[in-house]
Order: sequence, then structure tokens, then C-alpha cells
Amino acid sequence: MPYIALIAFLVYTVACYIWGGHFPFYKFELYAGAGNRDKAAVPVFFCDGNEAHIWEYERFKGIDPEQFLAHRMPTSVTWMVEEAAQWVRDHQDGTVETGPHEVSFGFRVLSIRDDGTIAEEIKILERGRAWKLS
Amino acid sequence: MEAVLIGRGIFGICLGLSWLNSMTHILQSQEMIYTRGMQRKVWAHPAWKRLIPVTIPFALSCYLFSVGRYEVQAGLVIIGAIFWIRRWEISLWHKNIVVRLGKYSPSGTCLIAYLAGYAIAPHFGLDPQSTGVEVACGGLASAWFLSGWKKIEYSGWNWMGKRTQGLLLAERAYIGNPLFKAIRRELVQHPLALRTIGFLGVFVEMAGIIFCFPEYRMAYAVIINLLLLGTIVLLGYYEPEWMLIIIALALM
Repeated sequence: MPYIALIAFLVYTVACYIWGGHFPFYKFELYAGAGNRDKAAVPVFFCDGNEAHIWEYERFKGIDPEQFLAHRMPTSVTWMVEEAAQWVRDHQDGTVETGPHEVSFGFRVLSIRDDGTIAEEIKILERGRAWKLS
Repeated sequence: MEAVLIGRGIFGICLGLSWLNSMTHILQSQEMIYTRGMQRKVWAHPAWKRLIPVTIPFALSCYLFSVGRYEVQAGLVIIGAIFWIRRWEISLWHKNIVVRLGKYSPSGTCLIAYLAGYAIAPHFGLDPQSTGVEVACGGLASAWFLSGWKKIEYSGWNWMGKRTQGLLLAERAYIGNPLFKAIRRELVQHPLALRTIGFLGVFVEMAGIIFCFPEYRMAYAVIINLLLLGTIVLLGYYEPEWMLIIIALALM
């Protein structure tokens, strides 16, 4: 009975265009827009000048997580940026003390050279202070 | 008949995986689960008090659906539970991230499609179970087609080009398993390989309509599983539910 499956195929396709984003209909976008880029970017975090894991730090001050995605960097790993922003949002410092570490968040901006090797450039977006997670 | 039973069993496992996925994201909502992976400190989480009482009837319903007993009632309980846990999961993350990042529940979607087919079949003098399977297959076929079509809709044919594929791999040359990172970094230097990856990915996805035809279902399911294995290596996405649900429906 392939005609039943074909009808369901058409109905679900149209329904996803109308109600995509509301379960059980989806947008299926994911990284579909990533084809219009000439550069790529991955988030990067530094502590005292050295690359570090953001989850090893807390009580951030001076870093605005709402700016992490606001700069519209050409990244297709948005989930990493969203998570990093969520981490900083959940670990803000409400005290008057200032953390001992100088931290910064930015992106490693990537392009591909003619010989196929990856060229990278670090672009820092936010700078602040933080404490090492106890 | 045995294939159908195995297929239904796998369908039940897929529903369980969907549940487990949402449950994990609830228990790890304070962690960086996507970037960092699972963390162990979940046992003291207060969410267990709500999760356990719902997980037990959910698991029972999955079992009943798998063995074909009370399948409509069991199916409705499962859908209600998946809807509930997704709402909870979405509420814990900032600004609708769960939806925006494209987190799907393919087996939940297939179950809704199955039950819709099951419900309308008697009105047309059709067998409810086989009609349900056909409707679910049509829905899953559409999901795969749309995954490919959206890439063309948003990026045009550029999607299949060496630059797009190279940049996707370049980003992931900094993330995840060291062996996979090395493979991605190496592949970036081979334009033909990049074009082949881009073309095959979109072609296989857009060929989803093939899954509407019963005689080609298992072959397409195997190809999709190969594609998803490639996705693990090249992009680092693990999608066991997507891998199994297509096998389940092909067997049913």
C-alpha cells in the first residue's frame, strides 16, 4: 500500500512547513544555512591567557553571556555557544569581590587555505574575571 | 511475522531512548552536556521524585505497545508522557534552546503517525496495524526528505560544495574524539572527498521518499544507518534513535 505512505509523506511535509517547531512537527533546519559561509567559527575560552574549559570556572564578572551569540559569528556549533552562555548565566558573581583570574570568551575563526590546510584567527568578544570552580 | 515482532520490539526500545534522552537532559540541565558529555552527579537530583513515578507506567506502556496489547491506550500514554517530558525539558533551558537546536523525537513522531493511521483505517476498510505502519513510514520518509531539502532551500547547491563541507569539518576538527578530529582535519585537504560527502549526504536524505515503498525499506534503512555512522565520525553526532527507528519500521 505505498499510496498510504505517500499520502502521509505529503501531509507530514506540508504540516512541518506550517507547524514546524511544535512536536511532532519539526523545522529540520539544524545547520541547513551553513552553506553560505566563507568562514567558520568555534567558541574558545581563555583563562590568564591560556586556553581553558569554561566549566572549570564560576562567579563570572564582566562577561555578558547574552553577547555570545549576538555577534553572529559564522558558527554551526551553536549548541556549544548556547551551553557556554548558559553556564556563565548560571554562574554569575553577585558579590563585590572580583575573581583572581582574567578570563575571556571568543571564537576561533576558521577558513580553508588553497592547499586545504585550516587557517585560524582568534577573536575575543568578552573579557572579565572569574574564580576557579571549587 | 517474527520480523514484525522484532520491529515492534525495536520500536519500543526507540521510545525508551527518546524518554532517556529527555530524562538525561533534565537531570543534566545544570551541566554542559552537549559540550562536555554526561556527568556523574545525577543521583541526588530532585527531578527523580517526579521522573520515577512517570517512568514506570511509561516503560510498561512501551512494553504493551511492543507486544501489541492495548496498543492504542499504551500508545496514547506514551505520547502524553513524551509530550510532558519534552515540555519539562524545554522549560529548563534558556530561550527555547531545545527546540532551536533541533532536538527531535523521531520515535514519538512515528508513534503519533502510527496511531493516526490505526484510527482512520477502519473508516476505509483497511487493516489498522498495517495502515499505521504505512503512515509512520510516510512520516519518517518525509523527515529524511526534509532534512536534505532544507539544506538546498537554505543554502542552495553550495551545500554540497567543498567549501561548505570543509568548514563543517574544520569546526569539528577542534571538538571530540582525537581520532575523529584527525580524520576531519585530514579530509579537509581533499576536495573530491568533501564534494562526495556533501553530495552523498544530501542525495541520501532527499531520497527519503524511497522509504514509502515497502520493497526498498530495508535497503534504505541500511543506507541511512551507514550515513549516520559517517555522521558520528565526521560531525560527532550520535543518533541511536534515528538509527533504530528506521530499522524498526522497515521490519514492521
